[in-house]
Amino acid sequence: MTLLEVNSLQTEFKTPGGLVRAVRGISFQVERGETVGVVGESGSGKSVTALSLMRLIPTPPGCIKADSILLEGRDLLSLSSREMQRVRGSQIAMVFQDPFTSLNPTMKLGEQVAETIRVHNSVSATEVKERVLKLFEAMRLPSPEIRYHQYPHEISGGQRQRVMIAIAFACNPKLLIADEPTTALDVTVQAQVLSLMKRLQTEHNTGTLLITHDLGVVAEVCDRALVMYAGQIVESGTVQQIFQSPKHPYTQGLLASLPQIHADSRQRLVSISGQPPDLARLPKGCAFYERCPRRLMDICTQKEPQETVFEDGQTARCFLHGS
Amino acid sequence: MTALLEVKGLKKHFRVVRQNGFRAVRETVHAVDGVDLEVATGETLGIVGESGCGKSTVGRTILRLIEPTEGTVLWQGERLDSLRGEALRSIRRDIGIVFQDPFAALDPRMLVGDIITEPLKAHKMATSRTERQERARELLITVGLRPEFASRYPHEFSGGQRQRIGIARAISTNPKLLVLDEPISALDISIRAQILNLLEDLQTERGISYLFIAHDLSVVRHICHRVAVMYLGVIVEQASSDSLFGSPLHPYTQALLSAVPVADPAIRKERTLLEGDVPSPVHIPSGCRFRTRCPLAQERCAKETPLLRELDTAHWVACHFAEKSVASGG
Repeated sequence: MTLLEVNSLQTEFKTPGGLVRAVRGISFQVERGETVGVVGESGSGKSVTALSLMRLIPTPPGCIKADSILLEGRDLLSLSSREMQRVRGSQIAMVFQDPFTSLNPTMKLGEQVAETIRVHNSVSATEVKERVLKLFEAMRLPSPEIRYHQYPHEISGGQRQRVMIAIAFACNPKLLIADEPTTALDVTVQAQVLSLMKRLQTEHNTGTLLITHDLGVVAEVCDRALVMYAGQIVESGTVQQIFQSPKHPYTQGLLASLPQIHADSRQRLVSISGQPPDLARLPKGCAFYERCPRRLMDICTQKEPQETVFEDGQTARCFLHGS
Repeated sequence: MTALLEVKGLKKHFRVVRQNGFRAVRETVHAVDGVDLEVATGETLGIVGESGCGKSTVGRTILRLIEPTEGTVLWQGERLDSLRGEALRSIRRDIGIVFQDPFAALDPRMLVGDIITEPLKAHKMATSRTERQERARELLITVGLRPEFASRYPHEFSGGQRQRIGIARAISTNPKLLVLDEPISALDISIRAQILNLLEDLQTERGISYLFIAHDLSVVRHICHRVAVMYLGVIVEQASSDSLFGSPLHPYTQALLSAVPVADPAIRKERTLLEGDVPSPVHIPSGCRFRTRCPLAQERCAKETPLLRELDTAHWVACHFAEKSVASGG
């Protein structure tokens, strides 16, 4: 059975400025042990997707609609809020971007991890502490016993993010949602944290949804990737497909606009002109039309492109490839 | 050739008071601890390093937005650090700055046209309002915006547009040098290339020099002619962009390059991961500052501070064992 199966998820927000359609009918799957990257710019709907899966969107003003969100065949949308609370933390865990605000500043680090274990399991206090220390060790946190009694302000950003990951893995979740887990970190620390996450994920066979705007991170750690633009998945495929033969003009543009660290010549970057559309005032037709270098005059403004599935499983939402 | 800008032995120490229980402990943060650098006309010098390495402080001390603790800053051969009042003001006309956060750098209550021509007013380069309005329109066109944007407020613009406004303000006085402090790191990926291209165009057209401060190595490789790598307040390696990225000599530079994720799944690589975090700038390790995380560290590194030496033509490195690291890592 597929670990996570999302079928036409839509998340909207009622705002004074109109109905903001943050996520517009997206479907995807995550298998056990697989890392799926979600790439997109701010406002593309990637974080809202993550929060919708966890049902952490405040309703109102938000509104989550979907045919189904199946975690091992169980529809998360049909659960009561108490049942959902049991899923969060134990079956689906989340790591947020900002390790500075995600930890409780008044609680000892060890206690924050212990809390998660206690909420979802009935185990003795000594066993809880043992498990926390073991997790800290697995996170390569130096001197775990000392860290247990420290507060968030006493440790560095990289170490805080490791504590966050310890909390996420405290109950061996089946699915890990990591929302920009390394964006706030320096590159050398980012490399440490990514390799740590990868190792834990392989050990526990956890499925991971990795949300990021960094295409480099996607290429390094993901198996498959979903490219989001204006609330839709405009392209999906394996990382090899996405990076070597991107089909959607947006993906092509993003890849061309990246400065290459290995390139010798200082070629001029190809940039995507303009900026993403206002989600409360989406144009008719394709949302990328305004910025698209390969737009077709008639059809692109008239109809919304549907998803084309290629033979090798890659998908793209663009009239260049079908309807 | 005299350099446009020359920095010698620049130091900036911040005194801080830390509360330890009921006791106040006085400490010194060694943000910048002896930096030498030069920027030539029409050149882009990059300063890279991780957070807290002192790269932004270097940029700000050059403009004397922060007063240096020690060291000299020479602008076209003239000492900047002793200037006061009008003399300092006239030199600030030649040096502009663009900040990282385009949302915080623009006064939300001022019209865009007034924002970008305020330097002209301050330097008495355009005294009449109509003249300034005319200049505002020209500047907006130069940075790729529509001239009618002059009569709007900053909140009406996106991050990329605001950064263009920030650049328009910085170039309004026709400066010879721009300090660019992480100018694109707050922007979305599809917008970054637009701003980088704009900066390159401005350099070609006007021959402006850039001091480009960034943590993103791919961007630095793309836009900089020469690069200085900073670690804990000092420069550990400095070379031309090609030479630094092609054959990095310092173990820190090598680790930094190895840590950068590359947007190509075909080159997934084995990395040399650095252990631990950057030490605190309050308690700086003795000898070589990098030794606590360095894979090559030996006894000597704790005792002797390595000085920058020219190992290859115009390729400077501060490491006792740089020759060895060429063989192993480079």
